[in-house]
Amino acid sequence: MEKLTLILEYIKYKKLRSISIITAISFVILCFLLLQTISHAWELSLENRRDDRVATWNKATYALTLPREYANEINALPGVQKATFANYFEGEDIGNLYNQNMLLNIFAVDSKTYFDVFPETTLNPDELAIWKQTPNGVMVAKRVAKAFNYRVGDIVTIKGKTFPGTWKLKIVGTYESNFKTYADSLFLFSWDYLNSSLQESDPRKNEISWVMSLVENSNSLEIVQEIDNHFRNKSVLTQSMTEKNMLSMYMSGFIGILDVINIIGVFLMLIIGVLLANSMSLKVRERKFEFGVLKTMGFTKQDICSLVLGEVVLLSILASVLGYFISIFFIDFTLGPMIVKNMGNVFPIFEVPLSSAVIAASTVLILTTSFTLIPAYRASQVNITNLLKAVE
Amino acid sequence: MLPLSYILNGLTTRYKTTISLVLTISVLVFMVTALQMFSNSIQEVIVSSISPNSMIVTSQNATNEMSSVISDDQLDIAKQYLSANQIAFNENFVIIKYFKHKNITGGGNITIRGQSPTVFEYFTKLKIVEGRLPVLSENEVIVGKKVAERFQNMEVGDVLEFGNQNFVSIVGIFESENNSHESEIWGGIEPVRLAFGRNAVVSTLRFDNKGEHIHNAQLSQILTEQGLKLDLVKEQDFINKQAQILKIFIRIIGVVLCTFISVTALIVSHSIFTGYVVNRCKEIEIYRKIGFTNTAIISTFIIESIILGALGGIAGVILSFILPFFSISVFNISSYSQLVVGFSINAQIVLISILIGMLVGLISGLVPSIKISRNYNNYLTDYV
Repeated sequence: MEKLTLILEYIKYKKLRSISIITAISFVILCFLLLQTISHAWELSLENRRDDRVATWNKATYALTLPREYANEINALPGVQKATFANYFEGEDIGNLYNQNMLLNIFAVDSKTYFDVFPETTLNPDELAIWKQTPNGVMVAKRVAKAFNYRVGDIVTIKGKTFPGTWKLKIVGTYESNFKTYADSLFLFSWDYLNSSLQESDPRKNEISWVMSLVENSNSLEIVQEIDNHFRNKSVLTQSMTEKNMLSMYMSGFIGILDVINIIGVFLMLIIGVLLANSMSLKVRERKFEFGVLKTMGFTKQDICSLVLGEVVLLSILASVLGYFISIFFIDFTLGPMIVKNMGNVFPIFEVPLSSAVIAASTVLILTTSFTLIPAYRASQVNITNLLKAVE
Repeated sequence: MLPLSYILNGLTTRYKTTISLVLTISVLVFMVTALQMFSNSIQEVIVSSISPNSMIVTSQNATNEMSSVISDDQLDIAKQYLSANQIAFNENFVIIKYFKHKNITGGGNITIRGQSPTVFEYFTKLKIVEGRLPVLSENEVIVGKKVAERFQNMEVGDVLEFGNQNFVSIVGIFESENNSHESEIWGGIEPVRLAFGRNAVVSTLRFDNKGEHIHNAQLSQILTEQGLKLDLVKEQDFINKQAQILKIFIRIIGVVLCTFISVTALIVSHSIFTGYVVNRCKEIEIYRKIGFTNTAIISTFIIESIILGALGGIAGVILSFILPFFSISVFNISSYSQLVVGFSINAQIVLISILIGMLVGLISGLVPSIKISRNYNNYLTDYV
């Protein structure tokens, strides 16, 4: 207890220095957490992917399409409970002055079956019924509706990029996915409406980008094989994968960047260690005389050691707590909304993961303690006679 | 002011403090340099290598080459105008396909470009580093250097599967001034689009407007008059727009990281410097007794801190010279394809980095030296 009082007194005595060290460490923690948030946000879109949902696309490349009938054929295969299909539609809302930076993730989907295959969504059944009946109706994710200030009943003008032309669409309802992934940031309109507006000569007429199907959970991998085998002798071959496998394949493209992020993270942690060790050895040097006095009063070597280490532990705990709160404020409330608004399709969520904060705090604690061992040892070895000789 | 030789001598005598200060500043400079080098490399790979004269024709509103679809009929009209004016042009069919990485698990999308026969007259900077040029009418392709380095089965002589059971062989590896083409696979337009089942369609048409000697407006007018839904834009603008999201993201992260790490480095070096100055109270007192003025003492410390900062800056820059040996595969969100980006350094970055080091040294040295030269007596009573 007396030691704690001594440590606190010393921290208070050198107020400016203590504050600056705490600030420095908390800033590094902020940087570390920012990087962790990025990689976490990427990984997050991997979680909550289902094993029993199978995606099927053109084997040559997913940039090419499949014939519309494939969806029906997959639906009829044994083991497949329900299949739906979609077209990727790149476009922008030209009439929206509220948000012009964010990209809309527009899919032209089969409105009759889409939400059957994505049962993890919550939506108003009345709105769903209206959507199924309205040819130009739109179901939009709640978060997107908020970002673009859409209300049910609004008419939006979408200018197509992959499909040239403009479409007048009416928002009939909103949905929310329980999985905070890409699926929770979509703008969905009817594939039939898109298809009917295409000319007969368009190679994309009656073509779809991919089929998603819910299958029996127990043997989803065999069903994946079955689907590909079924189309083996057709002109267009298919490639199927469970949603989980597809995403992990896709995400592996990011491994390079995630590695770099982790390396920088390690670097940052080392900086903290060097930083604290540096300033602690400085302190020890300054306080040699004080340690000599303490020793004369009967403090043992262990006591002196624990005084130095205790101060570091206290400082790093304070810094971790401060760093966490700064990060929450800075990342969750300042940077996060900005990134979600501009890059919502890549980062549906941008928030500090609590687990990383715990990792950061414990790493800081371990690193700083181990880096301070040498100065602490040096302080405990102070020779009283040598030091106090000067005082006469 | 105290003589410079004295300052330098002092730095080597107090080598421990010198090393810890230089180390702190060099870590900061290293981070700042690395970020600059990375964004410089992105700029280089994506934009800089494109000639400002290059123009690109795409279908209306297309944001990337793959989503642009031009039918051969539409193309013929534009080509008629271009060949009548003896303008070099080149048309492409662009598509992406997923390939597996070498050594590590996973893979990425590579852009496959089917090129018209004019390709090698148009891209004059292309250099074959291994193998030979492909015969564009055959199932032969060449792969970019960065693709060959990072992906499986991309050596000369390997066979790739394109589309539905179409096999093409790799006959060469090419280099193209470090730009994004090095992350691509090139073949002839006919075999490539046949393999992917897209006959009579191209993605884009490029031509050289020879520094506006050819009136873009004229061609634009022809395109609209004929009722063709085509856009004509500068290639630089087109590509720049594609990489916009990626660049903004890296800039945001870069600025945030740099700012906070700078502040941290400043605090640390300031605290080290304070101790450094405080430890020399006796020395300062002696200077005063000899007759040096406050200004002389302050300026000595300032020069010392600038030298230390410059040393830290140089150390950081030297440290960052190892970075060009690394490269990262980046996913370009807007074109759905992988880009291999490295770190490239230039004189401007070196200069900025060293200046940042000096600035940090100056700021961190300024405050304690002014303080102590004013009321050194208090310090003397505080620290025996």
